[in-house]
Amino acid sequence: MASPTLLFTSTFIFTLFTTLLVTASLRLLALFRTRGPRKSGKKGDPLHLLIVLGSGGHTQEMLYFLEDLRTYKYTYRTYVVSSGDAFSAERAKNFEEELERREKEKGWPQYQGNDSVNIETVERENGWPLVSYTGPSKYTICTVPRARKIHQPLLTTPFSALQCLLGCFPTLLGTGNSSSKQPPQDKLSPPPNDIPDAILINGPATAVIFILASYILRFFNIRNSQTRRKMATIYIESFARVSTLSLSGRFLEPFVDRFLVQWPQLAGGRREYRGDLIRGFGGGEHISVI
Amino acid sequence: MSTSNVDQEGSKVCYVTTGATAAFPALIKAVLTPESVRELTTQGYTHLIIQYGDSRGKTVYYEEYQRLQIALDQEVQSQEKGLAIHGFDFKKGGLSEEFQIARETDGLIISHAGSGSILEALRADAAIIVVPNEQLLDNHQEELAKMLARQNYLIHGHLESLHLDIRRSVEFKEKKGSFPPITSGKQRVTAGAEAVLDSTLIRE
Repeated sequence: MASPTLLFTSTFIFTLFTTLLVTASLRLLALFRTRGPRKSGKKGDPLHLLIVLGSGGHTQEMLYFLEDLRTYKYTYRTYVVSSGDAFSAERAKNFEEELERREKEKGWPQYQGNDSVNIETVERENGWPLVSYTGPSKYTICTVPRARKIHQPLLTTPFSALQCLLGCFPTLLGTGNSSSKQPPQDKLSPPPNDIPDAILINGPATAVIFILASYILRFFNIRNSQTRRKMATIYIESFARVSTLSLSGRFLEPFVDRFLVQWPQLAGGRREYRGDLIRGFGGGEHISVI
Repeated sequence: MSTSNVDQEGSKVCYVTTGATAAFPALIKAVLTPESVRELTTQGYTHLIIQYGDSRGKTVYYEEYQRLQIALDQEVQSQEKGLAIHGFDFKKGGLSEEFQIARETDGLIISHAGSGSILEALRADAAIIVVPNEQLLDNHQEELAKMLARQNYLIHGHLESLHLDIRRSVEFKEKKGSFPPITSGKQRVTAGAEAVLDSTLIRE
């Protein structure tokens, strides 16, 4: 006969703990084994990018990296800036305006809901309808608490990091959109309050916290994020890193889905060198290719 | 303070940028030495515009500016040539316009070794002297400056001999001329974001 105090015996607690540990390890292993291209969408699906803007040079490199983005594939963008970084927010806004201007120049009609463009008759490129998904309803800029300020003592870093982590969840779940404007809901735009398909990061600390947050959401398969293969993580090491990885880079290498470096001497293992990532600059020997 | 409304006709502009994140007072000091300023006036520069950063940078800027005034008062010559010196803290949208002006006026950029400023200058196709901040613990800035200097993208500058680096910039500009410019169509193939994103996200 089981005694009513069974729940409180040390054996029970030990069993419970072991079971949880095993389950958690298996789950983590599963997450780990799915690293790599996640392919959450098929051709023509609207895709949502979440772009973490580190600050200063990080922000600039990220936006240079993204400058040729075609919005008909990546139809909704969320930019994340750290609190107190007014520069990055301004840069993101300018970047979106530039995207809009450039696509307008190409003559792509701007998509503003179901009736604005007839997708069936519009011109196509490799099968994609040439439509511009730009304008204030196609992106949002979110602010999260800074994970670690410059010169912040190490002792208090865990607290600010935790604060940052808590700020990441609403951003990833799309419930923390800073703009109150809700974009039109239609089948060609991903719902902006859905989990992003990809997270782009290039450091520093806040980016690390974002990866952690994405792992936690996928661990519990929140909103089917794992089943739907959401939140592919792409890390781009700074071009300032010639022969050694940055601290964030070293830490994140095993965890992200793609890890890109900009100098050939850093390539190897999970680190991919794909030639120039930023137009007009290459880390390797300078060879002209026409 | 307005920085981009330099009257370009007959101007030759040198921009100095210390970056947005960490203060770099040593660079401001190195630029505002009589040697550096003399070198700039000799080369015919008309404007020296300094982005000094936060309040610490501002203090250093004004102190050094006054010291420079006193030092140059004894040299009537350099005053007559008239190098206008301006300072400002930050510009939110970045310095791409300023760097364009530097290129168009056959000018020069003197910069900290932040990747943002370096990329901006390279893309503006402007001549740039990059001075790493030796006080930063991580020496990767130094390494980057060396690697890029070896490939003739820029001049690797030093705080203690900045005037010599400015002198070298004349010769550097000629060498740089033989370099395929970004807009020549001879640029290398850039993978860019799209190839990476497509192969990560889209099932064929």
